[in-house]
Amino acid sequence: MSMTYQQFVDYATDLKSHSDFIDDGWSLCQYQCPMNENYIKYLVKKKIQKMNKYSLKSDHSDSHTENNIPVVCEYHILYNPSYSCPDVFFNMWSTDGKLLSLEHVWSLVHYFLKENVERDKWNAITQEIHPFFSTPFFRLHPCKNTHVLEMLGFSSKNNYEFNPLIAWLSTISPLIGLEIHLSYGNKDSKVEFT
Amino acid sequence: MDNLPETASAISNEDYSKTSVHETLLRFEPLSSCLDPNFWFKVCQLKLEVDKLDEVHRPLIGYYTSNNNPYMSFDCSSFNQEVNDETSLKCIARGYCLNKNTIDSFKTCDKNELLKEFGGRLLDDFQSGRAIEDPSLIPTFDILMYTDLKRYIFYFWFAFPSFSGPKYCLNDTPTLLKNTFSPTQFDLLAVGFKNLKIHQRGFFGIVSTKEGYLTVMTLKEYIDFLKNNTENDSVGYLVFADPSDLLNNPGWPLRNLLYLILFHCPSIRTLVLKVIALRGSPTTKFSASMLFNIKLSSEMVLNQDAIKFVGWEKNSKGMFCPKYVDLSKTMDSTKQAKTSVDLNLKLMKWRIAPDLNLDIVAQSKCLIIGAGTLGCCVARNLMAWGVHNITFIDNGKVSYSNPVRQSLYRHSHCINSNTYKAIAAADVLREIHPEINSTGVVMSIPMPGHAANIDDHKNVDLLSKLIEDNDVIFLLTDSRESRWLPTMLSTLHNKLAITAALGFESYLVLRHGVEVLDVSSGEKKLGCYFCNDVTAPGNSLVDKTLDQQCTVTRPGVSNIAGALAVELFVSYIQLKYNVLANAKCCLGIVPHSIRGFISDFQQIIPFTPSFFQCIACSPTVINDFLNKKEEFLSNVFTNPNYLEDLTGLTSLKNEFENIQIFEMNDSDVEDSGTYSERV
Ligand SMILES: [Zn+2]
Repeated sequence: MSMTYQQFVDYATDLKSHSDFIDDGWSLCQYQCPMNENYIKYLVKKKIQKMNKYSLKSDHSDSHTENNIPVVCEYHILYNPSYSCPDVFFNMWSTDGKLLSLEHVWSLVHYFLKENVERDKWNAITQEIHPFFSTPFFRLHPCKNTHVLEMLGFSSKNNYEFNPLIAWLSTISPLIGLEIHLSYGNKDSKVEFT
Repeated sequence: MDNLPETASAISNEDYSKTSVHETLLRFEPLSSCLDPNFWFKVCQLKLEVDKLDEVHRPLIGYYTSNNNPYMSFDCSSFNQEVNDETSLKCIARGYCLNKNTIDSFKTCDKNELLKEFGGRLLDDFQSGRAIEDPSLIPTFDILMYTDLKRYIFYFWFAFPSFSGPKYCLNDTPTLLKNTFSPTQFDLLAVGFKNLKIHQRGFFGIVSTKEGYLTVMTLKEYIDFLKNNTENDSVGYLVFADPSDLLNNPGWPLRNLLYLILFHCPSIRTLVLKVIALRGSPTTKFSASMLFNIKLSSEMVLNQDAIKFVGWEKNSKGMFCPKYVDLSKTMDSTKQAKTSVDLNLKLMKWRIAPDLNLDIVAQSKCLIIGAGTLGCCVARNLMAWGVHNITFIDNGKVSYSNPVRQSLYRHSHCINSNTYKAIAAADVLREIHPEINSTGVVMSIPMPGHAANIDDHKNVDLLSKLIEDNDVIFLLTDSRESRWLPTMLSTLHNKLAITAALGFESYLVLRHGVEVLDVSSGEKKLGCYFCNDVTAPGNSLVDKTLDQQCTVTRPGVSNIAGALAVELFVSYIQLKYNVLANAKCCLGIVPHSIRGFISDFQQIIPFTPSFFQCIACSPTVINDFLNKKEEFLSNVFTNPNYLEDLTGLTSLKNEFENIQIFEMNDSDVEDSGTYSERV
C-alpha cells in the first residue's frame, strides 16, 4: 500500500488549492536536494494558535490550568521515499522563541485526543532531525502512516473520489494538534465567496 | 510645518468628554512580538562574530499578516535587508535591534528616553517623507535586548513606537467591506495588491471612479492625490493590511499611518476618512476586510519636545516589563544532547515499561574495575541507559592491540605508550556525551599471594573508599586474584557487585555483594564468584606464558557479557530490597547469574547458593578484616595459603581430593587490560 511521489505531489497540490480557497494557510514549498539538485515539494503550514493547556496526569484526567497561550505551530508534510507515504514533521514554540517539549506539546493537544488515540500516542511520536533543515522536529513515525493509509483503503492503483492525503491528514491531525477544516472532506459543497 | 496650527499637547478632558458623547473613540489593537527559535541562533551568531562588544542599532525586518494575527514575527531572515519573495503574502516592517553588552546597562538604561529616541527616528522618517517612499517604515519596531551567551538566556523588550496623540473617532459603526464593494471590486483590489511591490503592500490607496472602477495606487501616489482633493466624496480609500483580530478595532499600524497622513495632508483633517482594513488574504480576495469611517482630528502636536510616544510591549502577565527566555535546552549543545538522550529513554518508559524507574538508573554511581574490553562495553551501555556518574579503576596503559577490541580507545592513545586506560576512558566518555561525570583512577588492585607491594595497604583503603562511595561495582578484571579484594569489600559495604568473566567462547555474569537473606531461615542466599570454587586465589599469573593470559576469546563474547552485566544492573535496581534469584521487576526477571556458551549459542541462568567457607564473602573473612586489618592483609598478600587455612578450606580439600570444581579457567580469560601487562 504505497503512494508514489507524483501522486503525493498531485494530492498535495489539490490540498493546497482547497486551502487557498478557505484561507487555511497551507503552502507548497520546494527544497533543492544538495545531492542531485532535484527539487522536492512539500507542504508547510505555520500558524499562531491560542491554545488551552491541560496538565497531563497519570490518570489522564483533564485539569484546566491556563487559557489561551499563543503557540506557534509549524507543520511540514514531506514525501518519504523509503516508506512511500506522506511523512509529517512538526514543532511548536512559544512566542518568545522557546521550543516546547514533547510533554508540553501533549498537554496542549490533549484536548483533541480521544481515549483510544490517547493510549496509543507514545507509539507514534518521536523527535528526529528534519531531513531538509537539520534541526530537531517531532515526527509521526511513517510506519504508522502506511498503516493509516491501508486502513483508509488506499492503494496506488485505485482512483479515488476523495484525496487520500487529506483523508490521512484528518485521521492523524488530532495527534499533532492540527485542525482540519470540515470542508476538506466535502469539497463539492464549497464555501462560496460573497 | 508652517501650515499647521500650534496646539496644546493633548486633548483636554473637556474635549474628550465632548466627543465621547456622540462618537466612539477609535482604539487600536497593539501588536505582539513572535519569535522563531532560529531568530535567537542568528542573534548569538551576530553578537559573537560581528558586533562583539559594539552596541549597534542593527536594522531588522519584521513580518506580519492580515490573517487575524496581531503579531509581528521575526526569524533568522529578519537580519537580511532585502526581501525578494514577492510571492509571499506577508507584509514587512523595518526597525532596529539594540543588543546591550551587560545586564546592568540593559536594566538601567532610561526606557522613556529610549522610546523618545525610537519615536524621534520615526518622526524624522515621517517628516522627511522617507516613510511615504517606503511604507514598511511606518509600522516600525525596536528591540532592546541583552544576551547571556554563556547560559543562553535572553532578556528582551519590544517597542512598537507610536504617537500618544491625537485621538481619532469613529464616524459610525465599522462595517464589512462586503457591504460596500462588489465581487468585481474585490477582484480589482486583490489584483492591485499583488501588483504592488512587497514593501508597498502594507499601506496603499484606492481611488474609485463614479462607475465604481477601482485604481490601486502606492501610498506616495495616494498622498499626492489627497493633497489635491479636499472633497469628502472623492478622496477614495486609504488601505492598510490589518493584523487585528478584533472586529471593531483596527490594528496598531493604522495608528502611525493616520499620523503620517495628517502630517502631510493637513487639509483633510476636517474630513471623514474612509479606511479599508484589509483582512484575509489575496487568495480569498480579502473577503473579511472592514471599512472604518474615521473622523480625523484637528489637534496636532507640533512642538517636537511635547510629542509623547507609546509602544513598549507588555509581557505575558500584562505588565510593561522586559521578557526573559532561557533557551539553554535547545541552544546549548551539551544540554541538547542531554535532552535528546533523556527523551529516548523516556520514550522507552512511556511505550514499553510505564513503571520503569529511570531516575534511579541515572542517579546510580557506577564503579568500573578494569577498563579493558568489558569495561569499555559496560561504560557505553551504562551511558546509553542515562547513567551520569562513572569511575574507572585501572593501572594499565593503552597498547596497540587494544583499540580494535576496546571500544573507548583510539590508535592515538597508544602512541608513545603514554595514556593510562582509566584516564583515557574517562576522557572519551565525556567526548561522547559531555554531560557525563566520569573519573579515572590509576591504581593496581592488591592481590592475595602476590609479593607485597609497597602501596598495597594504601590501595586497600582507597579501593574500600571508592566502593563505599559508589552504588554498583562492576568487577571486570581478568584474573581471579584481582577479583578477590573488590568482592570482599563489596560484601563488607553491602554494595551490589556484578562480576563478568570470560572464557574463549563462554561467559559468566554474576551479581553478589548485597546480602540477600532467605526470609524463612535468615540464611545468606546468593553466592559470590568464589563461593563456587574451593581454591584460594594464588599467583596464577606467575607460571603462565603471555599467550595463555592474552586475548584468546571470541571478540563477541565480551560485548555480550558486558551488555548483560549492565542489563542485570538495570533490572536489579528496579527492585529495592532482598532481590532473590529470578525475582520479578518491571523489565522481567532478575537472575542471580547468567552463563552463556557461544559454540552452541546457549544461555542459562543458574542460581548458586553462598558457601559458608567462601574465601571472599564468608563472615570469617569479613570479621578477620574488620578486627585485625593490617595483620590480616599482610598475611593474605604474602602467604598464598592463608585464606584457605583461615576458612578451613585446606582441611576440606584434604578430605575431598577428587572434588569437581567449576572454575573459569584463567588461561582462557582474555586480557581485559590491567593485570596481564605487568608480566
Ligand atoms: Zn563467596
